[in-house]
Amino acid sequence: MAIEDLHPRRSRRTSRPSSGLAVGAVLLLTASLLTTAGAGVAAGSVAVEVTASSPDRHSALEAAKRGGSPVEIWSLRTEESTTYANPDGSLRTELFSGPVRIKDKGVWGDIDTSLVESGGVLRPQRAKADLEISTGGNGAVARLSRGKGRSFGVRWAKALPRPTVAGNVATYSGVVPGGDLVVTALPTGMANDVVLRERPTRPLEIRLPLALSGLNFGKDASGRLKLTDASAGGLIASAPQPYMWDAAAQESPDSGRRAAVTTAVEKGEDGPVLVLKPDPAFLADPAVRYPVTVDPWTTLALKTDTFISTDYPTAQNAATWLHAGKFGSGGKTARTYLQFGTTRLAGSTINNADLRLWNYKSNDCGTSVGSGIQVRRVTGAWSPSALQLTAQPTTTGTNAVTLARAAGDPSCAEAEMYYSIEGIVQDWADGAANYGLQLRAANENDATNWRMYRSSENGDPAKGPKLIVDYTPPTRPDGTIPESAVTGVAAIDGQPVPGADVVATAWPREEILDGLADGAKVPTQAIGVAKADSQGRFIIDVDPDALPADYVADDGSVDVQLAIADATREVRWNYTATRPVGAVATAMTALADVVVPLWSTAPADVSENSGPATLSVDLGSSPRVAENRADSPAAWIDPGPEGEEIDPDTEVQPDPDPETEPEWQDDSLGVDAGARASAVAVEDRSDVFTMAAAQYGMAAASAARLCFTEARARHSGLQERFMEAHGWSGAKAKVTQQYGVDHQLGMGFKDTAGRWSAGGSRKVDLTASAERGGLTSVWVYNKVNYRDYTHVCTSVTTVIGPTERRPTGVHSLLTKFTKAKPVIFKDTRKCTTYTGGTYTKTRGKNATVSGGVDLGVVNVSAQSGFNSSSSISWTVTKKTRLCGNTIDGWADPTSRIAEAHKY
Amino acid sequence: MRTLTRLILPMVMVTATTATGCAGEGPRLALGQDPKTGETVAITVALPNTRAHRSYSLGSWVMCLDRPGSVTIDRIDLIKPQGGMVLQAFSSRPQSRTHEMLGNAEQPLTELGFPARSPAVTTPCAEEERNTVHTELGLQYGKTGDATASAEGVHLTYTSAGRQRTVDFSLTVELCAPGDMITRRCEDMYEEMRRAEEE
Repeated sequence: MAIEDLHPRRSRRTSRPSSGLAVGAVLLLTASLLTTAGAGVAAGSVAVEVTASSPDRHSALEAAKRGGSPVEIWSLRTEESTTYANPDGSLRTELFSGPVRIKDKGVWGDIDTSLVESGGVLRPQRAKADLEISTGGNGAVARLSRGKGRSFGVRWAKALPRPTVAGNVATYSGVVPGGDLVVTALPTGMANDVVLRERPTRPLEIRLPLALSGLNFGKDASGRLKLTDASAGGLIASAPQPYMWDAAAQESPDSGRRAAVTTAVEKGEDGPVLVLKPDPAFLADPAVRYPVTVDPWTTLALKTDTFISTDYPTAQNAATWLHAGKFGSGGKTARTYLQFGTTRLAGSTINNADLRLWNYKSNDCGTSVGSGIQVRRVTGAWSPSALQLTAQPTTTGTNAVTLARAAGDPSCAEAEMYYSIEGIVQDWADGAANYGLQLRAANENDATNWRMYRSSENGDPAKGPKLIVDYTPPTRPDGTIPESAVTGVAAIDGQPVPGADVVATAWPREEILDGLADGAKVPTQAIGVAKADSQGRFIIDVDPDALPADYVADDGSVDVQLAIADATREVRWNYTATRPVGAVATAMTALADVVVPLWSTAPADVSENSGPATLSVDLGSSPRVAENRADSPAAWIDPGPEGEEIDPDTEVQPDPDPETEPEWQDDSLGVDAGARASAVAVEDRSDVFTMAAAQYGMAAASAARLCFTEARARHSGLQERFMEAHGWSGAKAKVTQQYGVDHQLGMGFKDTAGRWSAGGSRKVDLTASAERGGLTSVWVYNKVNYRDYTHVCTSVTTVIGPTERRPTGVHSLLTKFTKAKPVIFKDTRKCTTYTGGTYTKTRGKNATVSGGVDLGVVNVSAQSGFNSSSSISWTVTKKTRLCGNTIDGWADPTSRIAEAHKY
Repeated sequence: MRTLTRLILPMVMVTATTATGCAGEGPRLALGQDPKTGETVAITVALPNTRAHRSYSLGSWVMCLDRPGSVTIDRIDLIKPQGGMVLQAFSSRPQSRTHEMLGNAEQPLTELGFPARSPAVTTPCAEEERNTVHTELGLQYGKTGDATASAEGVHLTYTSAGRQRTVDFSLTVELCAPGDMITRRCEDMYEEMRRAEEE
């Protein structure tokens, strides 16, 4: 019986992606992306990956519908997932439990760990790990590097012979009596084994001197070996306690011998030495069948497919197999744990979800073996570095799925097993926390009922665990789905630009940028691309799970730069994409008729009006970018001319006179300032589009533009004029800013001709608090820090792009005050008389106080969130009129004018 | 949440038809939230030197309807009342050019120009606020002891087109005991008052 027959829901799966009409679309798009003014690359010189793919969801859906088969959305390709548009309008995402591809010089390529000699060392053809393996002689057997000067090397006490190489395995013969050293390249690390071909005649001790740079090495209470960052202290890699097993155990968990290996970490002349002492009694046991594998040390990134068992009580992150079920005549248990990133599925309807596992070994084979293996949803947190037989997370039987079929050794060919776990994935999409999956015997009272599956560390990453999900995302009328990060319209002088290209790139997180010396560079990271439709509309979808950690702030936000271009011109615009979090996200998830956004421009604690950034971009004679949100630049307020500086603590200002002061007019809001804030510079189309095409695998490495962001001069203590506060001697105002307030600070943009303009904004969080009372009619200032960054792209030639003056943080709060012009509300309906008490406005979702920042070369807008961490208050000590009253309480919605004066 | 023993009964009224004439789509009451932008506000009021069993009235809480029609306020409950805080009464009245809205007063609402029975709310929110008349909500607080008492908001239940709805308003009211230098808001207020006296 075929596997398909055991899988009743498999018939709903659509056909595999194939080439078709969409190929033409890809070729056309690539040519469009690459035929750019100033790019210096002819379209014909670029190799194109011939596959059915399109840049964005909209174009892929159109191509899929035309061609009748799935089309890959290549802007959503990640190291661990591939997403397709289905002909019926739904999407399919294939998620792997480990990386199956990486970018090499900006170009995607499948992982291939087979070793090749280069520069006197062996290296994997393409792997996530930066690994070097010795070709013999003295020096390190293997060295693993991990950026920023951190590396881990394993040495051997004597000179090594030249290894024999087979695929991803290098074998150094005879380095121990009757045994070999075997080094295996893995997708994210390496494994070092000693294979004893013969029974040793005397006690064996294996000494592995370690060469560490920027790393610490140690052992935890459970015997795990761990590498930690020497400066930051974070866990870099871990390995389970070393084990050894004989030839029979290699064949089946029900047979053979296995035992833990005693380890010690000694201090050597040049660093720590890992000492392994296999039990002499085990090695001498006549029941032990040789060869015996001593698995001394594996180094790899923390992974999300692992297993534990009675024989291996700590998580086996590095094993090339996964084990689940009952063995040892019922006395032993194995459970496998898997995790997949499914954030993007939030709110979706799951049409089909299959967990695909490659079953290569079982205790028996057939359509019904034992009670089968059950997949359960894990309901408690766990980590691969802490999982133990005695410390496992909770699971639920709700929507659990059991498959009784078994394949592989000893009597069948290995085969794929598909578990239909729609219910579990739907639970995740509906908001249940995704702690992953557990595989176990359906009945753990079985005596013998086990399966082994290939893990993501097996020699062929494509055979690792895979989750295939067909889903229909909730769609808003504007076409956005939860993972939509930005939507907009491109135009020239008001006329739509069909086919305009849009590239979204992410700025590295601030800690990374702040650590750069002047002149240092970081690679530009494209996170999404799109092509405008016939009406100039575009949508960029970004999977939050796919973003590299170095580009995501602790609160989940990402600083995004958009480049929007037609064939010859482009503009750039910056904004911070935030994530609804905590109770807000939960509350939104509970609303069945709401598309819960994964990306928003609103503060993280705001649920109303949350959604992707929406831009109107005009590349024409009056270039501008308008953001369609309640606190968009168009609503930002012109601070007006700066008044004389005062010290509220020592200078007493005269009270405003209601009879002579001008009346407050609502139409004094700074429309002109909004226009200035959104005016942008148009430049020649830049290399960033070529770079993005390469990054998404649309161009060969030889043609790829590599783009970088280069750090330049810092500008500390620039003045942010952020709030206007009015009071009088009988009710002075007090302003409070507390930890956590968001400030949207404008960015300056200098084009290649040297002209400055606005360049969007960036969210900066306050990491300090301040309070200042005794205020009458004043503008209140903070000081903020900025830094210049230049964009550089290189290939055959180097192209220096625009410079941006970008906010990096807050310098100091409430550090300057200047006189503001008193204004009086004469509409008594908006005024109320108070005789005493303190009145505080503490939170207005999306309500902001606005001002500007003087960058020295251009003034840009600034805006402070007015939430629970920010307030303005008055304590009434004399009879007072408090004015500006609206539906929102007694302050103007913008909070700019909340005014108290004598009665 | 403590249920209010209402001293003022809502006026019995016939619900007017809505703009669409659909009984299921009566207007919604906006309080502490701009119906156009969704912007909400949280207000905190601290009153000094308050005593048990007295009335402290606060007004100027502006209400409007998101579409033409009318709603009846059925009840108002305090959110998280503490220290013996009670809502003694509530009422409402349309804004007027002939009188200001109520600020604060140590008097019952009925002595401050509010009707004994809260009338139906019929004032729609409008695009142009300048010439719009809304409805002012008045709230009369008291406390059962002399210690500082507080509540974190009001939970307002109203009937619109025959259907009962609710709206929460984040209005924190603190009735400070004389000389309370322990409760943060009271301490801040008394400190500000002391500073003003010194000036």
